[in-house]
Amino acid sequence: MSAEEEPLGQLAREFALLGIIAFGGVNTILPEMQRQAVEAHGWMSNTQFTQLFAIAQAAPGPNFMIVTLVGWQVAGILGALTATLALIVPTFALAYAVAGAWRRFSQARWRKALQAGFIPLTVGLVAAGAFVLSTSTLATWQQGLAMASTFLLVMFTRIHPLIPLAVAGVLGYLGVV
Amino acid sequence: MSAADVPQDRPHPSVKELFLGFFGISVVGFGGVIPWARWMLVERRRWLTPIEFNEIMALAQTLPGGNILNMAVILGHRYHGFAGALAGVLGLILGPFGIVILMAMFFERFQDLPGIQGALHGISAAAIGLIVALAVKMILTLKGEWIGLGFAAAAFVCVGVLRLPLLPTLGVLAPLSVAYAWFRLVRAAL
Repeated sequence: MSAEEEPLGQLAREFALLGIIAFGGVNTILPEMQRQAVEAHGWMSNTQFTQLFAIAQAAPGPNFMIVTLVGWQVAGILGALTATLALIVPTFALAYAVAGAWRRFSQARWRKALQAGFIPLTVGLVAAGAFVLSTSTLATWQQGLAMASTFLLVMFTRIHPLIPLAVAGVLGYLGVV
Repeated sequence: MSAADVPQDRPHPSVKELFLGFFGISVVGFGGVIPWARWMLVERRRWLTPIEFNEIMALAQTLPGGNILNMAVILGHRYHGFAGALAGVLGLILGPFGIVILMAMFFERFQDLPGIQGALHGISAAAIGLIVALAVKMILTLKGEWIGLGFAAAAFVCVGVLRLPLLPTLGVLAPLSVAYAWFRLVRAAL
């Protein structure tokens, strides 16, 4: 790709491809999105990417709003629209094409095999996303402690995930984290 | 899907209701919208039976892209074809799109204040804790399935540790993993 290529074109191409290969949901493309945004295109730093991920986590809505934020970071409101539409349009077309036959497909053995086959890969890719964000971003022992506390609370209690996010945000604002 | 496939004894949402239904799901759903979607579609509005919800969700999870997005397309299409699918997806996207943009503008406007930088470091650390917990919970669902864990480990190492591109990684691992799942389904049916 040429260095002069418009960032909007790059956003459109990367996110259209990412959407089409996001088997198992959008969480699976998190590590690839990070690799594209930070390493391949140099659109932002590791820390900035994780901050966008955190803002998307703190907002309501589907878990792919990080895509909108990456587009925003790269090229403002046009970038946000481009990245979001690029992710949605191809997957929309595919879902629309099979929508009429959902009842037939839902019972088909090949569909069950496809879904079951992607489950372990989804698990590995979500773990990869967690690993990449952890190793690229956590810089201080206070951040490590905030991460570990959130992890333990979510694993072992029924706490609403917004609570640790909000507490960590306030502690960060006060300069503790 | 023919109109005859839509049950007569249950509500028949209009295009506007599809938009508003998915809008409602998206703006209250924190940390994933699927539990809200089930409550709204099955229990509150009764557009779907529990079995229909599970069947549509299975297909939505098989298709690439956001699961809830695929669900909005399939459900919108069922009632109003292209207009319904578009209404469902726009309802799902518009609210969160505006909200995350406003949040990003807020952080950008005040990014030079030390407190705001600190707050971003704090929520970043907590957000990492959330995704690590999600990953561990997902790994636990594969307990005892050694071959499945092997595929998961291969995907983790290729994409997370070696930082290989996702497309060729899936190109190698997906056919193997799907073939193994197919083999297990066929064997279970015998």
